[in-house]
Amino acid sequence: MQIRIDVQQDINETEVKITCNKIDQEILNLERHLQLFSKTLPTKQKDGKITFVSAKDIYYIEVVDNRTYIYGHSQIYETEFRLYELEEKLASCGFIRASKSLIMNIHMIKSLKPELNRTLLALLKNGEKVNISRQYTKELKKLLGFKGGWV
Amino acid sequence: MKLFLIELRNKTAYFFLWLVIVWIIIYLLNGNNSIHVYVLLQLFFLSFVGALLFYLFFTNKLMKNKSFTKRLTYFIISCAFIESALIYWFRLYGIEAVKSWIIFLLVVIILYVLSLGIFCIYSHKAGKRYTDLLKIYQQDNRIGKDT
Repeated sequence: MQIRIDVQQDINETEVKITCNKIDQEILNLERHLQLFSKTLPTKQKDGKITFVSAKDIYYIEVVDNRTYIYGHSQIYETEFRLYELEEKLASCGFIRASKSLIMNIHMIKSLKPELNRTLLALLKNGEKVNISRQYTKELKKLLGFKGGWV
Repeated sequence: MKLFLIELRNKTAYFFLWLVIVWIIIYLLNGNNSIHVYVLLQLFFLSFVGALLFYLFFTNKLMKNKSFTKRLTYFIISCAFIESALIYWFRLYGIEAVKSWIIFLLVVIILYVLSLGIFCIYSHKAGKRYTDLLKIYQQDNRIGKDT
């Protein structure tokens, strides 16, 4: 595989073009990585159309019945990415684990409230509530620099 | 071990103080105006057992990753059972003193509810702290800030 960088002073947006003789798994993986690098995710709509969602517009991503769903302000998209892949790639965008089946955008949290069972309830900017399990509460505490006792 | 002994000493002293206050109230309600040294020694022993239970249920020595509510519930239940047995064994009051047992039960329930209430207020304050720290984090790590 050859990598060529063509610098043009007059363009506004960087474009990555893949030239190949056939689309195989390697090309698809490369495309996936590039999409994640640009922080947009390809999502599949009900009618089969592919749309791209920017990471900054995502509230949370959840796995339900082995399918990965992306939740926007009021829309739900489906993606073929696995949750661990998204977690790894979107970590730099402020995505954190909330439970085994959910990662959330920390920038979309409006407020946090400790619950009696030592979990955290995150109120999102769209009004939805997401529970952060005990296991991942510790990590969030560390990330925010919270020093507390039972909550 | 040293930390355990310090904790045990502090908690025993704390429980003893409150137990003596509660006992004086019970005594006054029953029309007694004095408390015997022997009773005080018995109360001290009760406090010691309570402190030991407290250490077991509110540290990670016995229970790991348990919520405050669960720890409090286990503590209150075990405390109520063991302390009732000790009260009966010490003859602080017998089975026939229904009024005293009702007061004891009420004290246990009130303490439980009060503890949960205090914890709710503490949680509310902690929630504000979490949200403040979250806002700082969001400001410092905005998407697109470094891209």
